[in-house]
Amino acid sequence: MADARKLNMVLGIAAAVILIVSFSALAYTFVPQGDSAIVTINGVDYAWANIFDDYGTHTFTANDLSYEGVYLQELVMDSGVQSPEAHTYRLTGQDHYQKDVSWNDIQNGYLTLAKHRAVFPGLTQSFWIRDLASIEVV
Amino acid sequence: METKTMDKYRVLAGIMLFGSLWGMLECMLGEISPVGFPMGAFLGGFIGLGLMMLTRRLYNVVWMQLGMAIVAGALRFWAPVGTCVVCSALAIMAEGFVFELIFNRPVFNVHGPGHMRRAKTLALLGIISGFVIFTVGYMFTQIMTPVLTGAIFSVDNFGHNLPVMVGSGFFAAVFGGVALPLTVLSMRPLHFAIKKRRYYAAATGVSTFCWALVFGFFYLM
Repeated sequence: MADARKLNMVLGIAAAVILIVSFSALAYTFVPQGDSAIVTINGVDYAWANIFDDYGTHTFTANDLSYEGVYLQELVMDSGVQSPEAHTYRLTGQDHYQKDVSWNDIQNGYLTLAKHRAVFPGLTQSFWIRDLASIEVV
Repeated sequence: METKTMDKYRVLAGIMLFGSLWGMLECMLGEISPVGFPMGAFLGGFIGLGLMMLTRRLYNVVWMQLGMAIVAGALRFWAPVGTCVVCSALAIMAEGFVFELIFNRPVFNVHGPGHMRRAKTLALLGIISGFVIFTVGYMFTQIMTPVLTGAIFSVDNFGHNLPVMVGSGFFAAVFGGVALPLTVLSMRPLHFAIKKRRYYAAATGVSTFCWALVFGFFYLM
C-alpha cells in the first residue's frame, strides 16, 4: 500500500511536470514572432498585403494539390542577397518553427497566398513553413 | 510474463491483426485530419498507445507491441499520406520501441500488483507514456526526414523546434491519460475461449481487410 502511494506520488509529480511544461511550450508557440502583417527577408520587410500584387502569382502543384503563390527566388534576390548560391536560408514561422534550406530549394519554392506558407514541392512537408515570419541568410 | 496458454502462432496472428488495424487507422485518419484537430497526437497518444496497451492487457506478452508497430509501420509505408512515408513508418516503429522500454519495466506491469489497475495510477502513467511516445516519434521524424530525403539537417533547427515538438506533446499526454485507463480497465486477459479456427480466421480476415482497404483507397480510388 505504501509502495502504491509512493508510486502514485512519483507518477503524479512527473505527469504534472509534463503537463505544465508541454502546455507552456504550446502557449509559447502561439505567441507570434514579430509582426504578422509582414515577412522579413534578409532584413527587408515585405507587407503580406502587397507581395502577391507586386510579384505576381503563379499556379503550381505540390503533393498532388494545386497552389497559388509567388516565386521565393524573386523575393530573395530582391532583398539584395549577394552570391545567393553560397548561402543557406533559415525560414522561421510565427510559431517559431524553423527550417534551413539550400538555394536550390529556394529556387524551386513559393510563398502561397493561403496560410502565408513557404512551399517547396521538392521537399517533404516538414520543411513547409506556414505563417512565415522571416527568411535569414545564414 | 508470457502466459502458459499462449502459443507463438496466436501471438503472431495477434501482431498481424492489431498491427494492421493500427496501420490502417494511421493511414485513413491521417488522410481525413480535420482542421485544427491535433490528429498526430491523437494517433500516437490515443490510437497507438491504446492499441499497444490493449494487446499487452489481452495477451500479456512483452515485445509483441514492437512487432505490432513494425506491421503498422510497414502498412503506413505504402500509403502516400504526406511526403516522407518512410519517416512516418519509422516513427511508428520508434513509438513501439519506446512503449516496450516503458512497459517492460516490472514496476509498470499492468498484470502485476492491483494498484497498477487503478484508474488514477493508469491515468498518470498514460499522461507520461502518451507524451514520451509521441514526442520521441516526432523528434525521430525531425532527424530522420532530412537524413533520408537528402535535405539539410541542422542541430540549430532541432533545438529551435523543441517548443513545437514538446507543445504538441501536450495533446498526446491528455489523450494518453484517457487511453490507458480505458484500455486496461475495460479488458481482461484473453483465455482463448474462442476456438482456434475462429480466432485465426478472424485475425486473417481483419488483417487482410485493413491492407486491402489501404491499397484500394490510395491506389485504386
